Amino acid sequence: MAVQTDINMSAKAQVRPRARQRMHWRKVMTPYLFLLPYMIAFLVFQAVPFVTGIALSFMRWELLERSQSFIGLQNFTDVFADDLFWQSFRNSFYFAVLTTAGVAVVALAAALALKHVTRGQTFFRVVLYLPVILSISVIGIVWGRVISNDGLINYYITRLGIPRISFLGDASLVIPSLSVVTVWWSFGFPMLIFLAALYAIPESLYEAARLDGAGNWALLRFVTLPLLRYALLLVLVTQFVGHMQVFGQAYILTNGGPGHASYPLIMYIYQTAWRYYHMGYGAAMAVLLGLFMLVIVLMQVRLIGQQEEY
Amino acid sequence: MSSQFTVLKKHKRMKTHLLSLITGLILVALLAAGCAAPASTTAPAESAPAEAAAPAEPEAQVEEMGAGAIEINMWDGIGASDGEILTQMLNKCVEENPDVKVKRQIIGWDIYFDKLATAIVAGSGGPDLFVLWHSVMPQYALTGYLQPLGQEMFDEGMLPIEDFSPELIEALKLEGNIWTVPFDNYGVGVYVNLDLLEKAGIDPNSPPQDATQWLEYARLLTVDINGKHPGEDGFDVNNVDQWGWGIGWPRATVQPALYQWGGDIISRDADPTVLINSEASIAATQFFVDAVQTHNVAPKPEGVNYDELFANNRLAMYPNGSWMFNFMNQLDGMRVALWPYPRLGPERGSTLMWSHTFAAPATLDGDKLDAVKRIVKCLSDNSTLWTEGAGMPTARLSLRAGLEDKVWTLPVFDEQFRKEGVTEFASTKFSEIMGAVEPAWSAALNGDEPVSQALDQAAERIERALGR
Amino acid sequence: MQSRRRGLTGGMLSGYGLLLLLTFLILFPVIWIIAQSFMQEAQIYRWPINFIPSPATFQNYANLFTYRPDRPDLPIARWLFNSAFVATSVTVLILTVASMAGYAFARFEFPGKTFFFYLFGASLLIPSQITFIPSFLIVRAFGWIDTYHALIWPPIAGFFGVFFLRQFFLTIPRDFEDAAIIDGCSRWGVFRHVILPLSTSAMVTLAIFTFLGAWNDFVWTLIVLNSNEMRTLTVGLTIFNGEYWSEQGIIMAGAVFTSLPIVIVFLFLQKRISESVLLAGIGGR
Repeated sequence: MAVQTDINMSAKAQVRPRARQRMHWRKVMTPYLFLLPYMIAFLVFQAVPFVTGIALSFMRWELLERSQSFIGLQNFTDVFADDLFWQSFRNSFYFAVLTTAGVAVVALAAALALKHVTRGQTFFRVVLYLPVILSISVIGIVWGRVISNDGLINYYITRLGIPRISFLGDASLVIPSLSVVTVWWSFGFPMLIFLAALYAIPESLYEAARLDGAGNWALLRFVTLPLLRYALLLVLVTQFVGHMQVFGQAYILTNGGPGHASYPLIMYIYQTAWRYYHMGYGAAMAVLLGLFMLVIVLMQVRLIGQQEEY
Repeated sequence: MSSQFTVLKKHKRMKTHLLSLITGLILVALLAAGCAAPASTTAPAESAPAEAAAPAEPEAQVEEMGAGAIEINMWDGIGASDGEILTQMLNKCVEENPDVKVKRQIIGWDIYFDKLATAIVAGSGGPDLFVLWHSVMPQYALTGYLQPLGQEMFDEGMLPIEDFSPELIEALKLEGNIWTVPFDNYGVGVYVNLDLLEKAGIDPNSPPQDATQWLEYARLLTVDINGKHPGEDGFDVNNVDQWGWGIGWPRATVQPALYQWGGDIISRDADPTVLINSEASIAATQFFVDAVQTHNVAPKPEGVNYDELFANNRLAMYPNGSWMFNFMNQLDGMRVALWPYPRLGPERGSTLMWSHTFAAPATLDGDKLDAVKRIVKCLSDNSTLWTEGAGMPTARLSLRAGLEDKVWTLPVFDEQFRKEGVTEFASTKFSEIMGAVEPAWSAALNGDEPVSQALDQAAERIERALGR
Repeated sequence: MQSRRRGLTGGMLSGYGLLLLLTFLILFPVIWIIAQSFMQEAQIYRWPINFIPSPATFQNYANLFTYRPDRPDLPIARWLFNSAFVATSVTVLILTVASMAGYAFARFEFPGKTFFFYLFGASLLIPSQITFIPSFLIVRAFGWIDTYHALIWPPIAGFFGVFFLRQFFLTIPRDFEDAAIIDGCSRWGVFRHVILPLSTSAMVTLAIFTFLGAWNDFVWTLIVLNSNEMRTLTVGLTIFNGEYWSEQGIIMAGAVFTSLPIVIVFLFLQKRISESVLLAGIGGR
C-alpha cells in the first residue's frame, strides 16, 4: 500500500527531498527513453528536412552547379510570376476539390446504405474497400484500359452510336476523369470511417425524431449529418490534403497532358527539382504549397469543427 | 487482486497468444514468399532478408560482362532489342579487353537524366561510363562534371577525328574541348507502307518534293470507311479508315520542319535567342495543325497509337526515327520503305539528327579511365554491329560503306544527313526547354490552343529557363 | 440494428441498389483485367472487347517470370522480394518504435510532453513535399540512394502510428500495469509483458496499414531508387508499363500478380480492418 501511494504521489509534480531525486530523475528519463527512437527518427527525417526545406527555398541551389547562394525571397517572386506554377496549382486544387467532394458523397452514401442492409454487409464492405488496397500502378493499368480512346467505356459508348469521348485527351474532361478514377480508388476507407461514426449514433435519437414525425430525409439532415461532424471533418481534411498532393494518377495516365491540362503541382515540383535541377526553386514551391494547405486545413477545422453541439 | 489479475492475464494471454501466432505466421509467410521467389529465377542467392541492417550494396542482377579486375559501371537508357545489340557489343569488347569487367545498368530515358544528375553529383555510386544525348551534353560539360573524353581520345589518336562528320564534331565542341565521343548519328525519315502507296497509285520511288505534292499524296492516302478522300463530298472525318500522315512525336516530326521555314527552337549561339515563336516557327507548326484540322490528312494526335495504326495498315506515311528499324522488320507481311523527310517549307529541305555519345565523369582517372577509353574505342570500332542490329547509322563515316545492303534504311538516312541534316539544338537547359515546347505543340496540334498563343507561352517559359 | 423493421423498406431497397451498383462498378473492370491476363496478346487490344479468354492461356504469367534476352529489365521475382522485404521491415520497425513512443505519451507525465505531442502532431499537417527534396539530399548524403535503407528508415518518422497506438493504450485500464508494478516489474517489463500482449489487435491493425502503405508507396520510391533490381513491384510495374506498352498481356499479368499478395492478406484480415477504424480514435481525441 505504501508503494501504491508513492506511485500516485509522484504523478504530481512536487518539490522533493534529495532522497527522491534519483527516482525523479529516473521518472523523467524513462519516458524519454521510450520516446528516444521515435525522436531520433523524427529529428532526422522530419525536423531537419523541414527546416532545411524552408532554408532551401531561400537559396539558389542547382543540382549540377558547384556552389549555392542565398538569394532571399527571389525564388518566391519568381514563383509568383511563373504561370506554369499557377496552372499546375489550379489543376491540383480543382482535382482536390472534385475528388474530395466525390469521395465524401460516395463514401457517405455507401456507409448509409451499408448500415441499412441486413444481409451481406460483410460482402459489400469487403468489395467496396477492395480498390483502396490496390497500388497506384495497378490503378493506372486498370483505368488506362478502361477510359482510353480504345477502352472499355468507349467501346460501349460507340456501340450506342455516340462518337468516342476522349476522356484523357480532352483538356476539359481530363481532370474530372482523373477525379472519377480517384474516387473509385479511395472511397472505401472514408466509407468505413463514416460507418463507424454512424454506428456511434444512438438509435434512440432516431426513434425520438421519428416519433416527432420526421421522414427519412429529415432524419438525415437533422440527426445524422450534424452528428457526423467530426467524421466528416476528418474525411474532408485528410482527403483534401491527400488529393492536393496528387501525382501518380497524372504521371501514369496522362503525363500532365494534354499540354499542361492535367499537370499537377507536385509533378511540377518533382520535375523542377529532379529534371531541371532547380532544387531551391522547387523547395520554394513546396513551401508555398505547404502554407496553402495549412491555411485550408485550419479553415476547415474552424468551419466544421466549431459548431459541435450535443 | 493479484490472483484475479493472473487469471485474467492468462485468459487474455491465450487469446492474444493465438492472435499473435496468426499474425506472426502471416508475416513469416510473407517473408518466406519473399525469400523463396528469387530462387526460381536466374537471380543469384539472396542474403537473409530478416536482416534489417543489410549492407547497402544492391544485389547484382545488373548485366555483367567480362571477368576482369578493372570494373566499370556503365549507364544508358537503351533497352529492348536495341539494348540487346549493345550488350552483344559489350561482350565482344570485354573479350578484346580481358582485364575489364563492365557492369551495365539500363535506366529508361524517361527518368534517366533525373537519376544521372544526382548520381554524378554524389561523387560515388554513379557510372564510370554513360551515354549522353548530345543535346544535354552542355549542362554536364559546363558545370565541370565531364571528362574531356572525346578530346583526349582524338588527341591520343585512339580514334580518327576525320572519320566523324565535321558538323557533329562542331556540335560537340564547347569551350575548345570535345567532351564526349559520338557513337551514332541517327535521325528522322518517313516510313511508308508500300501496299497502301500502290493502291493509291503512287510511285514508291518518287517521294514528294514539296508541300503541294505532299498534300496531294496525303489526300490520296487518306480514306474513310466509305472510300472517300478528304475534299470529296461526304468525306467523314470521324470515320477515317486509313490516314495519309501521322504526326507522331512532335519533337521528332515537327521540329525538322522548323528549319524548313527558317525557324528553330532557340538560336545556335552562345547567348541564344528564343525562336520558337518566331514567324517562321509559327508557320511551320501551323502547317501541321492545318494538316490535321483543315486538310484532314492526319489524325488529331491525342490518344492515337501510331505504331498500332501503322502495324494495322491504317497509316500510309509515318515519320519516325532510325530506331524504328527493328519494329519495321518485325511487321510480318508488310512491305515498308523509307523516304527522306520531305521538304514542306519554302526555305530549304532538312531532317533532324541526334547522336548518342559516350561520356565519363571528371573524377575518373587511372586504370578506370584507361579502361573506359578502351571500351569506348572498341564500341566505336565495332559500331557496324550497332547499325546492322539496330538500324542506327554509325557516327564513323568510313564504316557506313558496305552496310547499304544489310541495313535498308541506311542509304536514305546517310544521304539526307549528309545533304541537309540538322543536329538538334544543345543547351544547358535542354530538358526545361523541351518541357516547355512539347506541351505547346501538343496543345496546338490538338486544337486546344491557337498556335501563336501556345508558342508564345512556350517562348516565355524558355526565356525564364534561360534567364535562371 | 434496423432489424426491428420487418421486410424490405424503401430505404433498404435503395441501399441495396446503391451497393450493387458500386459493387458492379468495382468488380467489372477488375474482373476484366484478370480475364485479360489470361488472354493471348492478339485478343487483348482488339475490339469487340473480350471478357472470356478463348483460348485461356498462362503464357502471360510464364512470360512474366521468364528471363528474355531482348527484355532484360523485368526481374519480377526480385521486385516481389524487394516489396516484401521493405514493407515487412518498415512494419516491424514502425510497430516497435511507435508502440514505445505511444506508450510514453499514453502513460507518462514528463516535462515537455505536451510540447512534443503537438510538435509531432503538426508534422501530420505538413505536406511531405516540403521535406521531400531535403530528405532526398539527406538520404543521399548518407549514401543510401538505391539501397533498402532509403526506403526503410525514413517512414519511422511518421506520427500516425504513434498517435494511433497512444489512443489505444489510453483505453487499457491502468490496473494491469499498476498490479504488475506492485509485483516488481520494471516499466520496460510492464510494457513488454502487459501492454503489448493486450494490444495485439491494435498492433495488427497498424501493421496492416503500415504494410499496405509501404507496399504501395510510389513517389518516394521512384525518387530514391535508380537501378532496376532495387525497384519495388509498384514502381517497377509502372515503369514497365510505360516502356513496354505493346506487351499488354504481361502487364495485365503483372498487375494481377502485384495485387494478389495484398488482396489475400486483406481478405484474411478484413474484419480487423473495419474494427480498427472504430478503434482509431473516432470516439476520442
